[in-house]
Amino acid sequence: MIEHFRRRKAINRRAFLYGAGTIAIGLPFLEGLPERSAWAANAQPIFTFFLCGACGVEPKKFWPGSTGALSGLLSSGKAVDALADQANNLLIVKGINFPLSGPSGCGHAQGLSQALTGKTPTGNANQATATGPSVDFVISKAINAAGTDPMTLYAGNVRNGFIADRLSFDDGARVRASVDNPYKLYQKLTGLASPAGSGGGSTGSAGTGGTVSNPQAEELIAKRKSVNDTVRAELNSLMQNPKLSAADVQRLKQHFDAIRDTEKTMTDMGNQMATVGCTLDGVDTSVYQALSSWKYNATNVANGGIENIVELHMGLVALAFACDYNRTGTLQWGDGTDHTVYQTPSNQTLGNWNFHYISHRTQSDGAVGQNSTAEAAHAEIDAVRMATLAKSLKHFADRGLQNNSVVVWTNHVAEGNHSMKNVPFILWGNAGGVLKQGQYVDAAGANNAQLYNTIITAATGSTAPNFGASSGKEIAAVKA
Amino acid sequence: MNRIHPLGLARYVALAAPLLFAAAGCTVSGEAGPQTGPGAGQPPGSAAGGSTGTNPGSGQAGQTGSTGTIALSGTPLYSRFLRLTNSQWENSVHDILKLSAPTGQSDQFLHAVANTTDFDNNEQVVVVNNDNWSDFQSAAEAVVAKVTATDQALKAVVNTTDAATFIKTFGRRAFRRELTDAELNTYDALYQKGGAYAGSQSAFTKGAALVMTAMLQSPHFLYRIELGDDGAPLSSYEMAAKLSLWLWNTTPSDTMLDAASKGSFDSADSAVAQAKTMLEDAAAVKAIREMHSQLYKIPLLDTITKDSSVQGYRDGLKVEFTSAANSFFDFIYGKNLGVKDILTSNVGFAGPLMAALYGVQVSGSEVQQVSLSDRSGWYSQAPFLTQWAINDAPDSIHRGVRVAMDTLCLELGPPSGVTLPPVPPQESNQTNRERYEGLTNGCGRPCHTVYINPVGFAFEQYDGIGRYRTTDRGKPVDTSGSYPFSDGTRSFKDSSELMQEIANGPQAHQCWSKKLASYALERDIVESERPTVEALAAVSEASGGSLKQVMLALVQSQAFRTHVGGSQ
Repeated sequence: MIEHFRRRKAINRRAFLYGAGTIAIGLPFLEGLPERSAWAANAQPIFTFFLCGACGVEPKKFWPGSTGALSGLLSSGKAVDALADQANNLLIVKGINFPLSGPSGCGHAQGLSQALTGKTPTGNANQATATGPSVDFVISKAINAAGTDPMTLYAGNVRNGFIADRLSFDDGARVRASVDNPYKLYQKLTGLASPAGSGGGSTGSAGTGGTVSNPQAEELIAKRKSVNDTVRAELNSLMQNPKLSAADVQRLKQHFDAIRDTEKTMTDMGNQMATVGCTLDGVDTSVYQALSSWKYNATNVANGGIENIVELHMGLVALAFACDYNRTGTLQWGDGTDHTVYQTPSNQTLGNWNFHYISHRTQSDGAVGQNSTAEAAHAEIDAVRMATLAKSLKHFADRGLQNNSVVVWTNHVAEGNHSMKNVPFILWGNAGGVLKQGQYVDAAGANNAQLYNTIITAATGSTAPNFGASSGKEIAAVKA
Repeated sequence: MNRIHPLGLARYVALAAPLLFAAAGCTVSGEAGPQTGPGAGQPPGSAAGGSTGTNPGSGQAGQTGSTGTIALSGTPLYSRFLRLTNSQWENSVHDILKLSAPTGQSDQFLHAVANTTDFDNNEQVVVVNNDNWSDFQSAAEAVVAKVTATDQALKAVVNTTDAATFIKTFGRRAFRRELTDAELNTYDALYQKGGAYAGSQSAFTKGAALVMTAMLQSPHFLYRIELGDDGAPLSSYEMAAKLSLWLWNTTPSDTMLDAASKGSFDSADSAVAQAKTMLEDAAAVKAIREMHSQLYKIPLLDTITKDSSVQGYRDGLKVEFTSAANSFFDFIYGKNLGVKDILTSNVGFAGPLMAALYGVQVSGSEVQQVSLSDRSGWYSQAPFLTQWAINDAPDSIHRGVRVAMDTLCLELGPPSGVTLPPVPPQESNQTNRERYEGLTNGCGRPCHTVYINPVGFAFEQYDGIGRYRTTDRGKPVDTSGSYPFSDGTRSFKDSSELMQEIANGPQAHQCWSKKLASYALERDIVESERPTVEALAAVSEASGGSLKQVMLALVQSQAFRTHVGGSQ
């Protein structure tokens, strides 16, 4: 797998300058780039990404018929059939429970709060929250420089619904805000990736005939350095004030750590490794640029439009990994009580219920019914979501990431009745040869934290993680 | 430094409140369970029989509380660094750069996490981190590039060509105070650097550009900072900034800063006088609208979905609902009305689609004021009633829950460890009320029958899209009930009487006051601040008590005028 990587001395700088000069999106795209310093220079990066869907699945029409090799299993009329093209890189896992497997009341926020923390949440209803950090944050903290946080993305029918951000949590178990507009990640990557058709890598052209010179960008880098120095000095001065509480010192420190000098980080990244897929190939820049003034609201993403947002996000996450921009992240796919109206055939029969009602099999946010047409609609929505996941994973495959990544898809509940037993898990990529591929396996009631132990080890090199409620255990059935 | 903060004990006690309720077997504000023993049927924390007792959250032997029973269980940080919200950033940049239109930059900023605190301006969710630092950086660069595109353009920001004057003038706007000598020197050095960069503009403009870019990323701009001693009054500049960012959602104007430089915000009386003027500005209407929008969940109106079989419902109603809701709360505020009027006013707002639901006439397509003589206040208006309904049937549980949580400040928790049973189909000979009574008679009964259902059922006279009705499945609707308010149990015959009872008692006034304080102070409110909340509530509850009067009372309070430091 190492052949997918090569030294990329200074390519990032050239790409940055190329972006500065030729991409017509103005100054905001010239973001500070994150530092890379927390792993050994020659270490193989393992990228991890975690998606969490909403409202569970319709189990009878979701899972493959039996465990075993996936070849031949993904053509039996189940939702996961949509993933058939990726079968060789898939690991589908049943039998994983959340630590709190029976919710108290409305379990959506509780489910979200433990989906990636692997730990029993606290609180109820939309106030439920995590009791520990999420796996993405743990990985990020281990392998990203201080202040470089995981990518935290969102695609839902409404920005601030009944349960908004509730998937990624920091080491104080505080929920982290998410980025809803794919344009934002695009902005950051535009200055990092080589232009389409360049092939990436150290020998790739910067797109304009070889030598790249952009005095405007050079000057901007220098100006930013001056501004950053001033701001850092002010923050430092404020942090010395003896009246400040510990919380305030932490607040200012977080701000301080977030400041990045473009020049320094580009140099650092030029000394790191990235895949040859760090180009804008396959990225329809016009689609992203059209989102530059997009304002998130239900109207803009009505009728299943969140699927489009998911794929746009995921196309960029694949690029981010290929460029070694960030090594981990999350995507919350739906508000906790997802009111997206998916216009599937059965839902049209129902009269276009929102997904939350469908998952409850009755038109209620609070109760669970038995409407068989809603059950059929849920299965159809699962198929739509799996088709979106398949398209998203193709971006990763196209960039050759299957041997150094794992993309995890799960849900914040197992089914519409809020059960958190047998929560679906679909993994793509072998995480550096650690995970089985092309298999459907049974975890036999293990908890999700145990799965994350294996992933943390693969991503960070930590030999004995004791994540969440795992008690230090792993799930043997998933390991290669 | 180790020291015990004066509020520390109260804070720990407040944190313990939910556990205490659970231990008492109460189903409200904590884990559920059968409500047995002393206090059953009473609001959490009140003694059986009621008007006196131990506060929720006090929980300490020997401590006695007031009669108030609203939940005050927050966990504030008491931060000295309140980051501008996205809208405050937008408005502030607009004002200090003297722009003619909003920049629109903040539309793309990282949003604060919503729904984990009372409001999304809470100190706990408004920070600068890895994700949004670059938002502020790139936005600062973009807006400064615009106002320094030419030498002439810069004159609109500060009409000078003198560097020292520019730095001093713009710096005061950005930092909301005079710059120190050290800061003047720092920014002069930056100005000199900027002037040497390439570009067609003059050295002055280029230098000013770098100064502005830095100031817009400075912590002194991005945070409203309070650096005084713990318990000491805020400085005049700090008070001006606090008032302006709260009441006008923007940075203080040059005029306000001039006044601050003369100490015009130093005393309680002078601060109140300034606030009194500010409350009459259109900007204050917008700022308070935002508070009510979050408090009453107005954005969720946009997510209403109904089965296509619901007669009389149109998707276009959602736009009218939002407009009508905002207009209603603007009306309450603008007409010097108060909490009682939120609960009991017969004034409503409707466009043509809503008018059909109300059975009133409107002209044109815009939402306009209408008289709703058979309805009392916000909760009997179509937006609320339609939001909390299942198709054309009232969702009695959620109607009750919302009133209990948003207006009575109860913290309700769902039953523990159970999957909520389905709402059964409504039988042909069964009213909606009978259906929900049957549903909630088992598990969860103590909370439902005492704290939720009575309120929800009071609105049975309005169907799932807010139309008035007198019968349900051929039977007369039953809207009667009784409720254990903090000052005792009272009966009512329908939602109008219920709203009147709520308006006449202290609980709703305390609740709104608590919410107001939380919004204005940008933090959670805790048990030790109950006297402040009650004092504000007394203003609200008094005859003619208006929202504005409560706001002014808050400005006069110690909680607003002094800094409370967090623990070190």
